[in-house]
Amino acid sequence: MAIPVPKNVLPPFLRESEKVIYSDGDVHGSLYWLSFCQVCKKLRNRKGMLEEIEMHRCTACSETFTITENSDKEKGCPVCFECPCCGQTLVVRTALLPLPVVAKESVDEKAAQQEKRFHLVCQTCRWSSRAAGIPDATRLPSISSPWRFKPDTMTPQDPREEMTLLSDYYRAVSIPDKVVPLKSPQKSKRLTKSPAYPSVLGDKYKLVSVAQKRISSGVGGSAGLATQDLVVLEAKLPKPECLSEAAMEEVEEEELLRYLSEDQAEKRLDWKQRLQWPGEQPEKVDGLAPRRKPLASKLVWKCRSCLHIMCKMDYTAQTYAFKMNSSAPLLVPTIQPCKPAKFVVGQVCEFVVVIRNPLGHDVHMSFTAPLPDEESPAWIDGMAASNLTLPKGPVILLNRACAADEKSLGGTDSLTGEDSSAIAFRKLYTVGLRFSCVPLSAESDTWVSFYTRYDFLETQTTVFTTGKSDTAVSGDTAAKEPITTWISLRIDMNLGRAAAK
Amino acid sequence: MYELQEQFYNPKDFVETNTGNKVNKKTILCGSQQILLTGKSILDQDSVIRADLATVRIGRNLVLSRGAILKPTYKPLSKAILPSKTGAPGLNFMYQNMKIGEYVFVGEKSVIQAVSVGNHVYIGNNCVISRGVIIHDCVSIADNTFVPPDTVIPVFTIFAGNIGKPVGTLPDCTQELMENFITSYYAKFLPQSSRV
Repeated sequence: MAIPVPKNVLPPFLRESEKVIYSDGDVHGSLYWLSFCQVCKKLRNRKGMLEEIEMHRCTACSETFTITENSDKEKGCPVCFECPCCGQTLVVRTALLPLPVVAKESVDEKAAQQEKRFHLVCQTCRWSSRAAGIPDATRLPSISSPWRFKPDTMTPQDPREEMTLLSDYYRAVSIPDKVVPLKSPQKSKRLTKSPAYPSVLGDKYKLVSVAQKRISSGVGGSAGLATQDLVVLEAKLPKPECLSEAAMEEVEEEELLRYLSEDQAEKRLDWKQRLQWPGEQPEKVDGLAPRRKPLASKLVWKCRSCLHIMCKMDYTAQTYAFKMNSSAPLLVPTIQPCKPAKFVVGQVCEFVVVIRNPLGHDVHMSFTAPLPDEESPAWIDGMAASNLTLPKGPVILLNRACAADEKSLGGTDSLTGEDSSAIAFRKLYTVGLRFSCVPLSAESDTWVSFYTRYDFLETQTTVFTTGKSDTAVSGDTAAKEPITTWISLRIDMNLGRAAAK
Repeated sequence: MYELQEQFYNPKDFVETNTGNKVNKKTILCGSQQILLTGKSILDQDSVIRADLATVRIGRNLVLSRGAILKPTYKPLSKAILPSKTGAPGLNFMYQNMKIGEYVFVGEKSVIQAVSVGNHVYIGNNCVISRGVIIHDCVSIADNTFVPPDTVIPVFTIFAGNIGKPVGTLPDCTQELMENFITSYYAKFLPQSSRV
């Protein structure tokens, strides 16, 4: 799986994680970004897992929302807001404002006439809701927001319905414009905001378009309609009154500059003139409405093939805990090559590969080289090394609890059968193995590929029967034997660039 | 293939405590009675801990790189406290205790004024963590990041930029990776006498 963030912002221990690629069938990638399904015994990437959202949580106020509770979860936390300029969390400020009618009797009564008002302030960039023209709230945000910003107030009904109304309205307006010949625009300097403006602009600013010519010459599709037909058509269409008053208000001449093309607007260097080109910016300051704080999701990851839960996280306000974590480095032995001391093209280079066993049982790992006619996978962007020498016999990786057991690391009985010549060092559950290869090119990275095969012990939960318990299952007196599964993975390691001879 | 290089230090420049802390003699420790170092921490040259302002509690395996500064955060107050008899106005803020978790790496020349830093946190070089920031567990802050005041950084977040914003998520095995990273950093931070 590709790393979802740029490499330069990653911590150093993740920056070069793509240099060892594990592949299991179609799944390949760095082990750190993969998961291991303990039921299928397969590596899984994000595509191979189902994502289910259990709960949402605001990272600012730590409030949790269930999916049903927060149906409009896309909008984020209803209480916390982000600054529209810098994206930081806004702070609620309180101000005491006098009521319009102030009593004259005493100072205490004057204080009683004061009213608390709340507004939002960004402590980073000093943006405030007051400067943006948003009226103060009379209560603190608790369950719902006391402020009504544009995105909420502008859409009282279904936006799709409003879009349909708007398109119907413009259709209704456009038909008479196409039929009725244009009146002389010089008579009235106040113009209405309607689709007829291109013709007006054409006369005023000498902008002539093909569409305008078609409209003015009456070549449009409905130009040939009879007047009676138009009356019927107009009656079917909604009246313009269904739209808000803002759409119908008259427009000053200066505002027509906004309808200039982008090229013309960019030539205007004056700030006032530049700001009249709307682009993506809001037209006015009050267009900068605060955004709701996006919520963090508490996710459950399931294997796509067997639907077993692979990862279940339990967020709290302070820390995190995993109820289940099937991250691959916790269940698959990690392989990490050390940089060879003498890495020269055409010479046999010996290097150490460090293997760490994260499992709770001893692992027997064997290595095989890929077949000579096997195609190299697409993610290898360098030259494969030749004459790869791997450890011949299986290597035993001690379990993770070996430090607590105080096993002697050199001569335990379990280590007697392994190929000791290939072992560079052994430290607790970590083994250093000697590999060697011959790099072929100094112009590209040298890759080493091999297959590993190791045993994965599945310890089953057993029900022990005791004579005391009445609910014990009869006939099952012995513990179940753990099931051993042999897992084979392909490993591709990037050793870096070799030096020329 | 990330391999830490061995770093050798002059034993005369460092003081090693019984609990395994390696403290450079050029480290500036203000109010050393209020510094609680648990063990196996490395305080490098020119790093500063301002424990004279408030107590600084540090968990195991902290790496405070060269020039890094730990300074307790302050909390603004509505009214000034301790008005002096001379007529000078009292302070209208109060310093708070600082808590730093286990397996934390602080890069060079970073200034940290957070309320708390969780476990398994990586903070890059030249970062500025402003006052009132809460950093939860398993967080990575990229180099040259400015974290604005009162920010809460959730778990498994990669924070980067100026002004800092969350840019991605860390893998689920961050705890293991961070422990390996700090442990190997400590193991490869060796006195010059051990150089072969």
